[in-house]
Amino acid sequence: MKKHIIPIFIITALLQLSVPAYMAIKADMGNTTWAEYKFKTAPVDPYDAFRGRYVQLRFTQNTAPTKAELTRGQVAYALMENDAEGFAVIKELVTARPAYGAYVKCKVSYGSGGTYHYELPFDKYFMNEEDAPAAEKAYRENSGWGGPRDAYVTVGISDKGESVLKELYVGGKAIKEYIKDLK
Amino acid sequence: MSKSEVKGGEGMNNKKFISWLYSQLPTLVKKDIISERAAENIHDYYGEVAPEDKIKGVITAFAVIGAVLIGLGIILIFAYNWNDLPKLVKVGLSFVPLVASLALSYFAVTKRAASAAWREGMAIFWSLSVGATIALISQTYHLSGDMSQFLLIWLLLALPVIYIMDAVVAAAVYMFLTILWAAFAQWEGGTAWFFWVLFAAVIPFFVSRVKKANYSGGTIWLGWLISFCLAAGTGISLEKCVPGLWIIIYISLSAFLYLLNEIVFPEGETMIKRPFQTYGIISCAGLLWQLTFKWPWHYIGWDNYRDTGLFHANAAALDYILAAGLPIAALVMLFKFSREGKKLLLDLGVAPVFAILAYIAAAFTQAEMLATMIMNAYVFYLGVAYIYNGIKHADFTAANGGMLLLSALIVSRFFDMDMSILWRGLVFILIGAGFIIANNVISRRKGALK
Repeated sequence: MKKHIIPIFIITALLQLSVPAYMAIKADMGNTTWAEYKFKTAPVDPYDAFRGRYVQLRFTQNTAPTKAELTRGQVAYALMENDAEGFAVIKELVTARPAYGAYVKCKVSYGSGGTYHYELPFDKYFMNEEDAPAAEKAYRENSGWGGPRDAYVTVGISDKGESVLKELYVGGKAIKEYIKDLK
Repeated sequence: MSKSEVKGGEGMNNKKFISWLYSQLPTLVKKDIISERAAENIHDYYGEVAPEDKIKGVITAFAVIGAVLIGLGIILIFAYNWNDLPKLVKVGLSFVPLVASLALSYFAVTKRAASAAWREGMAIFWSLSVGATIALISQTYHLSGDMSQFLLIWLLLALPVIYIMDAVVAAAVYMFLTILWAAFAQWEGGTAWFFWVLFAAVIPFFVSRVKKANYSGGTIWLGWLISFCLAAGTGISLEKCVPGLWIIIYISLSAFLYLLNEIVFPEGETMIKRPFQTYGIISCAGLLWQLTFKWPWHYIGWDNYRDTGLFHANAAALDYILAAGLPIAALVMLFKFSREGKKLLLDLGVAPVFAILAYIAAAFTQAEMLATMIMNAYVFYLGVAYIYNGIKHADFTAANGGMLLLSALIVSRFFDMDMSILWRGLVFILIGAGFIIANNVISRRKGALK
């Protein structure tokens, strides 16, 4: 072991550096080259809206029909199309990766009788802790009942169903801009 | 003949005994019991005994704490202005903890390999930096993902750190992450059987530490970590499709660790220095006491099988393997020690047999009362055996342990039965008197033996 310690150290270091580097490169590619979709966000419980340093996102649509028997935790593919307002709508959940069309990888939550809840992988928007209270308030006011309900997120989705969250918009502005204008 | 060629030579590598022997040599030579030449040969055979350096442990501990604080401080400083930084700068800064820890660890491994403080301190900085860098990149790009996935990537990348740095703290971080991973994997609706593969990856490190110095502070601590890791990981990883198998698995695990101590830490002077035995006794006794109640025996066995929702039938194969494998492992060691005539070892080591008998009674014949009676009889026997052995060998720990077990059993049955306060009071007085008398008898025996 002692004899080989330097080569093992180098291989380990390269592996450890390559994993976050790969994550960053892939996400950056997603931000710039993948097709962009808009997902409308839904009202949230004030206690759940913000945990630690991120905004917990909820979406107006969180169920979809399916012809398959699904189990909790199973990976599925949500077939998508844009509605008249340009927001993404999930048409159906399938278990096999589609050969064509727009889709996003998701996780099955619960359900039965042909309709299932699902979880999208882009459900957290990370924020600086100082801006948290203002962001939480803005998000709730623009997602809740009685409010304008114009909060949405933009997501880059690849042709393999991978996704990367780009931005959270409230009142027509990116959340950081919205909070800056409030100050 | 060198020390390593003598059978059992490695097991006799105990500084305290060797130091005592060296202290006797001048007297033996003076009284012509052994020659000077023989005394020199004995000295040459066992070699120099380095004085125990308690300060080294303290320095190492402070080095570890210092490294952790530096790492956390770096992250907090980044976090202060994080929001205003351009994305590329954020990505660059995310790699700083990992690159810094790699540089410092390389220095530690090449220039300060002999210093435990350097190795342990840098190892924990390195292990934590791996997770910090991945977390910072995830935060920069809003990558959610499952917590179990993040933990699995982190711990797999942190595993080599244990072996490269020869660091116990790195093993501690790794084992903690495997338990967290198992918990999240189950909570997210998946399975956690892979915990056992992850746990097995740290065993070669433990074995090498035992061979090098089985009574060093780091190795003892590792023994305790392994005990707690197994205790938590076993319960989390079980699929529990067949209710009640945990009874056989946990009793067998406790008995196995208890017996394993005779191989790994046989000459530990205190209970702390016999981690497997101490953990085995306490967990086994605690579990056995709980099994004297009726509640663990309700609705167990194949008739109550479940495989829907969070219960995965395929992953339950792990439960069956452990339920068969652990009792076999415990009984194989029990058979080995039975030939050495270590009676107390056998009394507790045979616990898996009673657990299996009671399980069969409750699971296959629905005779829950019979299962409870089997456990009550066994625990009663165990308490009496420890008291008897404690008095016979003037061992306070064994005698008081036996009395504690017996008292717990009696008091529990008390609250099961409908008995008047007067009778309860009388029995409590008798138990208390028993404690005092037994300790008095042991004191006198100890005095007589001296």
